[in-house]
Amino acid sequence: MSCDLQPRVLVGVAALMALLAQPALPQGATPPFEAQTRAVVTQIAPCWLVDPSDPAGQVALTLSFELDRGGRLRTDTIRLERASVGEGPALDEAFQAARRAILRCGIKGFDLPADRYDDWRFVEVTFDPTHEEAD
Amino acid sequence: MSRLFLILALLFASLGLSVPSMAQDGPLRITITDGVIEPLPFAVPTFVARNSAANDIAQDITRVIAADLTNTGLFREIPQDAHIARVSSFDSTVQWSDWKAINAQALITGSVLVEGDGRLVVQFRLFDVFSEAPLGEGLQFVGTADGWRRMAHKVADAAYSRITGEGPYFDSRVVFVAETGPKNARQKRLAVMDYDGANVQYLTSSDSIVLAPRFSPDGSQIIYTSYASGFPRVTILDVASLGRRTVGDSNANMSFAPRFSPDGSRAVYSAEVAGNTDIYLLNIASGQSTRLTTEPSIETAPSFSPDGSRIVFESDRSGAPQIYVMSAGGGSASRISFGEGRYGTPVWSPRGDLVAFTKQNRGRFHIGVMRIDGSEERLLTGAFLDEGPTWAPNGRVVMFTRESPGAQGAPALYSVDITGRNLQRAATPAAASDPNWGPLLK
Repeated sequence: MSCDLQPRVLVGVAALMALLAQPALPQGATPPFEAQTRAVVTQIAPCWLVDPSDPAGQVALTLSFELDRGGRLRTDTIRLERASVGEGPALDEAFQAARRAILRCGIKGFDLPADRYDDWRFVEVTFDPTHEEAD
Repeated sequence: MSRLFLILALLFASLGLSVPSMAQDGPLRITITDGVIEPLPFAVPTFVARNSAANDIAQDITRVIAADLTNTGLFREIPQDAHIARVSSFDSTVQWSDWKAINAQALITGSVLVEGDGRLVVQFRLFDVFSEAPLGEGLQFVGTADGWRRMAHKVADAAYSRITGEGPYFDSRVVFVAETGPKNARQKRLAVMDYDGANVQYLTSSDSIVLAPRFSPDGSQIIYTSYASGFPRVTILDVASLGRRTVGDSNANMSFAPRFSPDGSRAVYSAEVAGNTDIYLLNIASGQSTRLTTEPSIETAPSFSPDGSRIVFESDRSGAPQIYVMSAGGGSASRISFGEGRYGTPVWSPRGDLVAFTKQNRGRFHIGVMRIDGSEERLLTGAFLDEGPTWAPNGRVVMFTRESPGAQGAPALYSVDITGRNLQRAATPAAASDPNWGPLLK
């Protein structure tokens, strides 16, 4: 591995190594809940169009929504929970970009374990372009 | 193995993945830190011609739609020869797997019919290939055959707005000054064109110099500076009839830099009276003008806020040209530009949040934007001579004049995204300057 890789890449590698270090699942076993919920992130992130040079690209905000028991998005439940800025064009634009990401990439629903419905019925997604890595 | 490992690692990093909160009370909480800024790949198969008369026009419409979207810099067309699925009917079932295989994230399909009376019927649908679902309702546009470009722009506008959430702007026109002849004896005419440089029409002859044309809010009139009398005078031109009338303070030696108010009932302009240049407010209906500034300095280039309550303008009252904001009724003004250099030609964004301006600093000219309080100044361009920004109807793109240096230098129209990306030259047939982006067409 080259030593000039960016820190974020190294974190990504570390995360992947951690995943690879986990014991393989027995055939037919259910993947861990953590991996299943991570799929929510991987499903939504490619649809989040954010421009860091735009004022809206500096806004961190959290949206909430509800899923039905089949993991399908209840589109009428998408709400803005909180944001790093007050009302204004930047927040409007940031909210719409986040909402579109959820709608576009979440419309098919999510593959989540039915027996833990109470754990994922309500979801809060924080879109934070101001941090290199999540906490 | 190691290469795959690195690719996977990069993928994880690029998606900004984070570990979700576990076994929590309350909602499942996840965080996403990186989005996507790459152009979105889309496919637009040639619209289906519903009769033989529509064959050529269906191809033309499809190409204009693709060009509109691609030229934003936000979209990337997947070439038609890479398409797997063939769309032979507007109502045929979408072959999702074929579009996914070529990584199309958006799919635009449509049909074109030329009716017996010559009318053109254009239908289109937009699909989100990711979710295997339509993105909004299908739409149909009906018009005359010679309006095919407008219908193409309307389709592209609908697709652009549905995908980006931004307002549309393709179905709009730009008024500008068309220039011909040598640099020291330019002939100037008012002209209008589609936003992309097509359909240029000349509105005035080259008998006298014209400057700074601005559309009325409904696009039916153009206010500009005319030298027909030998002196600069504010003039209003009716676009349909091409009738003209001089307006403004008759006591002024010169009147110039006019611009309509957002409701079209008033206009602001500069006038030089007794050696002092100030900003005046014109009531279009009555023809009466009211003086808004009284400083002994030069006040010019006024532009209304979208709600009509304030005016941003240029003044050298501090010793060098800077940008100020005042009430639309006049009175005291607040300076908002404090950076190094000289600032001019401010124009309020249609969204209301930004002012675009020209900045001259250290021998270079820039087009920039700043917030209304002067904060967050960003320079979008830099060149030998960039000046005179104008906003697209959606406030996302700025067009301006760029003049090349040297004896053979000539002005041309360029546009740039407010992020400073996607600099594009408008395809005007000859030299062009002083653009003003009109409203969305009805």
